[in-house]
Amino acid sequence: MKTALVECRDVSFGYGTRTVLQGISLGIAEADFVGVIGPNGAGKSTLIKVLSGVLRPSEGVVNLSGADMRSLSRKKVAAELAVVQQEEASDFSFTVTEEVMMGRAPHHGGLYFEDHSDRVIVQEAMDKTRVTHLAERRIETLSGGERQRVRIARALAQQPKILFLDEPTNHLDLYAQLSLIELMRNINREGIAIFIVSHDINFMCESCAHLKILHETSFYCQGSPRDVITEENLAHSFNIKALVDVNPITAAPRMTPLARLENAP
Amino acid sequence: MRLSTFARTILISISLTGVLLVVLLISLLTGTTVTEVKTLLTGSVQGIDAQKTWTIILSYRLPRTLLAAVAGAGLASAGVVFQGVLKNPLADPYLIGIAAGGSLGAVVSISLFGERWLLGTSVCAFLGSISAVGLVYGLAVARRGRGYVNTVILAGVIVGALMNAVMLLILSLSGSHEKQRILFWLMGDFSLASYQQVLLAAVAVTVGWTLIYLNANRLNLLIVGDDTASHLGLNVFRTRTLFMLVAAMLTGATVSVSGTIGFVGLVVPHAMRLLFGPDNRVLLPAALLGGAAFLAASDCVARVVAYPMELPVGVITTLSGAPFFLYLLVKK
Repeated sequence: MKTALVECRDVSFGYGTRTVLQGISLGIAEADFVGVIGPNGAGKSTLIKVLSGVLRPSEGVVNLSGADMRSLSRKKVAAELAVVQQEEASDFSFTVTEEVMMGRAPHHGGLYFEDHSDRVIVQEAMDKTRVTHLAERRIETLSGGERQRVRIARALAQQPKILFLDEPTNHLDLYAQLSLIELMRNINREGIAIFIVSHDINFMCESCAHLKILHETSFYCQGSPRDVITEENLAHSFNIKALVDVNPITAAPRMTPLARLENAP
Repeated sequence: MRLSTFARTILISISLTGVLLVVLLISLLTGTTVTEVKTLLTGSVQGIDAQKTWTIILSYRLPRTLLAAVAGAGLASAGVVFQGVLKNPLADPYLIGIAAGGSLGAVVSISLFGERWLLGTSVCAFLGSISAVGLVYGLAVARRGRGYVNTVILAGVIVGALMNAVMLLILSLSGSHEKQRILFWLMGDFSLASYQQVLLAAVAVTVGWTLIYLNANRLNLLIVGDDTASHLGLNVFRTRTLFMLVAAMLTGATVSVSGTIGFVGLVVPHAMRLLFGPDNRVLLPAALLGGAAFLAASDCVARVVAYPMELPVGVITTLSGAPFFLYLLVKK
């Protein structure tokens, strides 16, 4: 049995009096490829923040490699767990290399100049994500897909054991989505666990080995994509009538939305 | 091949140190004739004339030139930090009420003690700056969480306006002699510089800048964004607090010895960022040296351009800084 990298049991979280997550339990082990889908507002982004220790659960405990997340400094967490989030706007523009080099921060103090091993790690991360040819470009001159690959490269430079991705397909065209799936598979093959939250069902069916549906603060169902993506489950959690068949090439379930349901079940 | 960041930092620091030394030398010798300089160097003429020249240089020009350089270094470094912490390349060390607090302190001191306690102006100005920041920061902490940066800016503007109003009230009630002193102070002034002030300001700037530089990589993370910084291992709230307080202390120290001098803390960091990029490991030394050179040069110009009258140095920095800044805005 593989040991869990990130594990939580009966975790709840709320903003003020509004409960966002309730009774959440999960475990992510080495080389897992887990996805959480759910409609807008189901608490997916909050789940990422709670599991990465940015927000503290109001009930329950999150463990990272067996240690209570609350006892770990941000730096210790960042040395094991990297998060590729949606883009943050900044008025300061670094070059791609500078941006990726920031991924080394969890392994250094407040002032450092990169040494040879940092450069090797950053170069590898940039090669893997195919951004080496952009090295001297400034971030704001890149396309959305390129910027996301830079963020993934920065996350890889952290040398994490587990990689979180928050809505990674937002603003990506189909070409960029397909290269993202390929990239995530390559990363996962090296033993890095991957945890994605998204509302993009077909993308998640193609990429994840294990899926969970987050519906109104808790997991509604979980299992392989084939078990989870059924017409009944989509009706219940996304409130839509959908046709579910099988992608004849990849054998992953495939969803075609047909109509919205007027009355929530 | 591209130079490493470390090599760039060293090279840029050495070049700017050269620029600064040239500026300091020019400033010390401005007003001295060529013959006088030759005399001083060769020691060929002894006696009263040589002694007089030395006295002017050592007890008048040297302290004020050094004070201008130290103040410029402190303001520009504080500017880099505030622009980073408030995530706005157009922020200014005076934006959050520090200058207003310092002015209020100085004005209170001038009207209470007059010229009987010259250092008192500095002490009170420093206390005023620090209490303004304390107030602003207290308000922001009371509402910590999202929108924190905006709270700091808004609270700063309001606290600043309030302190300015009190300052103007005292100004309008004071006698004409005090008014003169206050006005000069408000426009920025190095004419009464003493070695004591130079020492105090130099200690504050050295300590403050070193503390900031030891966290230069953390400042880089902070300007990319709070969430990113947090995921890259930064305790965002604690780090931002540290930066704010140290930069406020730096600004307060410079305000206390030089009055309020506009545009140094805004234009120098911005210009250095355009030249050398946003990496704070390079930017902080560049701003320190560039700010020192810019303010020392401005003070030299203020001293001689309308000789025998002396202009307030703040007029020179603003007259040269504002058009440059407008150019930047339009170009962007």
